[in-house]
Amino acid sequence: MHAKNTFATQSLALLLVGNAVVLVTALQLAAPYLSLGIGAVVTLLIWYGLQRIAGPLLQAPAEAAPAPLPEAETPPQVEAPPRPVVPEQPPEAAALQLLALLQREGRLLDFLQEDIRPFDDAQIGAAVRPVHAGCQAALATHLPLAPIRTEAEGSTVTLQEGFDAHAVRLSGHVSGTPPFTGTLQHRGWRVTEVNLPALMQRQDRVVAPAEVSVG
Amino acid sequence: MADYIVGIDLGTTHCVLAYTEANPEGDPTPPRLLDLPQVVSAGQVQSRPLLPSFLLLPGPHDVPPGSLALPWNGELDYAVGTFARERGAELPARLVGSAKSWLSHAGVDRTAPILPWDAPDDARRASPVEAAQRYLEHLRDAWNHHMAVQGQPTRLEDQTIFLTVPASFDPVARELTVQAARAAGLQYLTLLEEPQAAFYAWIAAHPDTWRDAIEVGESILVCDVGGGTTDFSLIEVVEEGGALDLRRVAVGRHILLGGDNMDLTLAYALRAKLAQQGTNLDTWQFRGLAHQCRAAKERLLNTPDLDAEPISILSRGSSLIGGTIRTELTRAEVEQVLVGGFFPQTEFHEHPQRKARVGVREMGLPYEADPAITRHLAQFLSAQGDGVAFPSVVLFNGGVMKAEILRREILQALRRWSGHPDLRELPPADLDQAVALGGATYGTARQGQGIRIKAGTARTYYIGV
Repeated sequence: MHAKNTFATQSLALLLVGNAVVLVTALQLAAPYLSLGIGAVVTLLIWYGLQRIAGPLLQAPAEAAPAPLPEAETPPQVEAPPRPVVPEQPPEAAALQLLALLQREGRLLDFLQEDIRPFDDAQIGAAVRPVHAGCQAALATHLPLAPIRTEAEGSTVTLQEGFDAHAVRLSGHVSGTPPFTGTLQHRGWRVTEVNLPALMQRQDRVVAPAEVSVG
Repeated sequence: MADYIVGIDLGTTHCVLAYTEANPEGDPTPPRLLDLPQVVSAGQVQSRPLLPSFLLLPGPHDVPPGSLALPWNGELDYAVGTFARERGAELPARLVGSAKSWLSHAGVDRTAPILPWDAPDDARRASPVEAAQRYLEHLRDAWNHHMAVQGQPTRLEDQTIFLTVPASFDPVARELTVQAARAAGLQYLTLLEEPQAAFYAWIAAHPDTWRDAIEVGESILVCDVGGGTTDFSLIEVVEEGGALDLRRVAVGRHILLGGDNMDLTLAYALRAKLAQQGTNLDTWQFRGLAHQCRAAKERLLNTPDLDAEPISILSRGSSLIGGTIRTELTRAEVEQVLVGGFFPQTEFHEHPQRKARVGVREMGLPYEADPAITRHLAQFLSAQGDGVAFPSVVLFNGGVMKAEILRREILQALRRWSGHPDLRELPPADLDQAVALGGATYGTARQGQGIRIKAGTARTYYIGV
């Protein structure tokens, strides 16, 4: 764009100078009609010359490699929009949010709230599939889990002095001091990350809105 | 001076932003993706690597007040991304999708507020350009927010940006893309064609082995089948002054045919199967079916010894179990619909059926009448003149091509047509993110400090521009 504009300005200047020269020469000849005619011819000649020189410049080059686009002349001024005012959340916000999330992605509340006694196992099983898939995906996204013990369940494990009694729970006849040897009954679960969406509004107790389809 | 080089994939179904340092102190770091905070449900924001390219223009009763707020803007009256897509599926007259396809649709005024197409008269509307602008603004604001939080207040407006467009975009569509980017405040822009970006992403993913995989003079088919569109192009590897260069030698038309069509076709097939058994689905259930079809299809395609995947369609009401409809998607059905319908083994001279023109009022998107991607490919290849070599290598791109069985069908057709049984594919990278990553990679390569491609001998190649 820039090269094109500069070129246009230069061309205009050249045309004016050319015409002025012709006009002065014509006045000296004192033949006004002739001067107009010569003026026109010279203008055309200059224009033709300019076109020949400028042809390649004015035509869009057929380029395969992308060239950076010229910068915009006036960058639009963006006013900073107002930041959201995030209200303080009630202490139970995360619990309610998680319920809403498992309902939204896996229909868990519908499933748990339903009386399943009248249905046969096959029917329940069919309904469980999407509930399971949805809730599993929701957990994997928002609260990914990892087992606490990586050994196979049923294998023998030894707990050394200073083991984390919060993460490993002993049962049976426990006496004396560690090390303790026993059978791993359950590997345990630990949440490895908490990725709950950020709440931009106060979490209320609506965990699944009523749905009305219109029209 | 820009601090970063940014690649932006403004895709038909989702947008991705990748970036890397412009002036690294040591070796250049491989490009990484920007996490994109977006509304994921009313009043809740979460970061995702992909931003679904959907714009929701809700009416006064469609979303709770203030529920579209983002960390950087509390007063938004529209939504972009996951929530726009999910909520928009329930409010079709409020949802703008496929804006990119509209951007390349010459049959309409692309700067006029025409979307959502077929929305009622009182609905809010946006132009295809405005929709693209909203996506780019979202990326910009996500960037600026992220950098400010990191204590590094560098703005996207000041970065060197490589924005990718389909090679098949006409000059008007390109210009409109630039217009949208300018309106979003992005200035230091270079448009890069998607197949080239995909190729750079492949190079970046195989820094040590890529030189062994291709040779100078080879013709590479980039076969890009995304969510909504299919694009073919041919790229030639050339050597100029010791530097390797890519020359795009042929571009096909922008084909409005993609993975979404495939998933829908599968869902329609299952709906017909259910209807035969006397079960009819409403719109809401059909959407659930389509959603599950996609997941079941992916499991079937990725697990070769699986014969069928059960599908349960839940009723919409709170009574879940009694209203559940059961069916299954079998491997045979997937192969029949996908392979038979979209990737059939056709002959080289078989081309798509010409679409009958339906008067002047046919203004919606010009979707393809013929779903067979192989026939579109045959048409593209046979339209090339004698000077263009038949491809000997294929680089796949787009989410659909993640399925190995579908890549195999394309390769088999190409081998049959060319008579070259050794026609091969380049090992794919991450096909959802390749274009954005490739954009950033291309940017570093252009600076001469990007991918240093060492030859087998002592020579060193740079990717030329």
